[in-house]
Amino acid sequence: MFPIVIQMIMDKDKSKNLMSRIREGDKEAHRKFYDIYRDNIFKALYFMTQSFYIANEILYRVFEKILYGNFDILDNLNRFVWKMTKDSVSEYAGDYRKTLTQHKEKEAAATIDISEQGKAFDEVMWRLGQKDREIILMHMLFDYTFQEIADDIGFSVSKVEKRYYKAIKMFKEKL
Amino acid sequence: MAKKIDDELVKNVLRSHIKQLGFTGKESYGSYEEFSAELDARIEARKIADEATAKDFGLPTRSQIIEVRRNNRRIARKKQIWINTVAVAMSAVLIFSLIGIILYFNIRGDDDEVFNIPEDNLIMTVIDYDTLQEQGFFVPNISSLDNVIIRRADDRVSGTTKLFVIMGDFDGSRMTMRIIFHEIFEPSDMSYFQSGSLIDVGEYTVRVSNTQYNDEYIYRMLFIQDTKTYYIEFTTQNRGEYLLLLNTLFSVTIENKPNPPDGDTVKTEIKIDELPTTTLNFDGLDDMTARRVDHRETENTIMFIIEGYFGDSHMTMRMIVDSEYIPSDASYFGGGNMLQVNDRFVRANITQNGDNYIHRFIFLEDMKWCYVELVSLDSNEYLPFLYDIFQQ
Repeated sequence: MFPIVIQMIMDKDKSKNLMSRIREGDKEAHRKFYDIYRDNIFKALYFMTQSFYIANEILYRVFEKILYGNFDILDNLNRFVWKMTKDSVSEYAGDYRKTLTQHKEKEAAATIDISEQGKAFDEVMWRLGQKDREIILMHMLFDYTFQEIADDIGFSVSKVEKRYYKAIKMFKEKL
Repeated sequence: MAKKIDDELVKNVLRSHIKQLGFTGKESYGSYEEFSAELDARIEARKIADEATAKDFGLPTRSQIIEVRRNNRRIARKKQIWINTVAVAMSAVLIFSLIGIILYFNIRGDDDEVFNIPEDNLIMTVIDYDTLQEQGFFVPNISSLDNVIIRRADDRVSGTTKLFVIMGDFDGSRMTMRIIFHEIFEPSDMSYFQSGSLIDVGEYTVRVSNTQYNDEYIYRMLFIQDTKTYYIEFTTQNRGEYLLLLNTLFSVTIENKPNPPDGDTVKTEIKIDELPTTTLNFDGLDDMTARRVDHRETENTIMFIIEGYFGDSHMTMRMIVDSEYIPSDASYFGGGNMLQVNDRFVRANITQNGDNYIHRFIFLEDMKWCYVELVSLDSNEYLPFLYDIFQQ
């Protein structure tokens, strides 16, 4: 128990340290953050918007918010990044509707190379409801525990677990 | 509980999935430097666009809005810190106050224990009558009591209050007298005297209250003398005994007729003319006898006890020739009702004992207190009875 608590405190300190350095304009800290989170943020954006182009557009906004925004940093950096990502998608939704046609053209122009397995994965993802998709993303990309997810989206823990494993079953059948 | 399924495969696909993605025609994301440059360019472009828009519409720029918000947040945070500090300070004051109150009552608790001293801790001696007198006590005639011992408990009381407890037997009855060296001190037993009566014993006025416990009567008497409070508890099986005790203690003679057992009661056929009332009608009562026990209370108080039957119900009426006198039974009427029988007001209370209903009434008749107990099998018998004696 004791080592776990120590580890949690150290993780918390590390997260706070990294964010403090980022806020102070430390370029090395920016790079580190980029290396750690870029992939996961982009994946989350892609699965939430179903568009590579829009995910890329929002990606810059997310980084802008995190690196230069004036938000209170949560103790858990993973959770902070997920919240910023989700907020950015909501903010972008309005603009997206206005320029849908334009986006579609740009989307079509983007050349995407996805493996068969990747396509199968996408197919299952699009069949899932928005909440189920969020549960998968929070747990797999941002290391949320089921308890944390339950607290965040207002479901019971057992309901979150049930929905998660139901989705995993669908993935396994398809993959 | 959801059935757990191994999700490692799905996680692996998700991990490798993105590495195969490109966007805007590129195979990979590009380097951090490229990303960073693009990010800075976008931020700068937006800033310029914001400022242009703000200028066109005369609005504050985004950075100005952010600055204002930041300031507001800073002020709010400072305010919150102040609120927290005040709350913590108030909590601390509250906690310390509570601790203080608890400690205070703990300390006070030690004082109060004086009335419950374990007997082992007391100095119990046969009373030294002369010493008491030398110490300035008003000395009642305690030597008349048998086996009198003094429990000197003065060291147990704080401040100016000292306490002597004197115990003794009086013809088979037990007496405990507490002498408290403080005129202002009120024993907690004072509540007993709210329904008691005042009795003049020589030059002293003694406040008396009595309660019955099984076949024993507990008389409580209180008087103040020479800035000392004297509190007596007298436990006896004879109701009249307390007057004898007072007579003895105060070396006076109050004409007293102790309440005799029924067999010795002087019972006479009632003579209406002898009764100190002219308005009550006793004609309807059968077999009426009067137990005239006058001079039972003080020199000014005369009491008649009148007994009789009303149908099958048994009636006892005490008639007290003193409107100042408050019968100790008045406590029954705390939960009673006020009845109006024509122009008279009667305070009534009813209790049940087995099959019997005990009706108690108290009313003022010709400036005399009349206290009636009617024991009846009928819970409504009291109304015909009242109509009868009031000639309604």
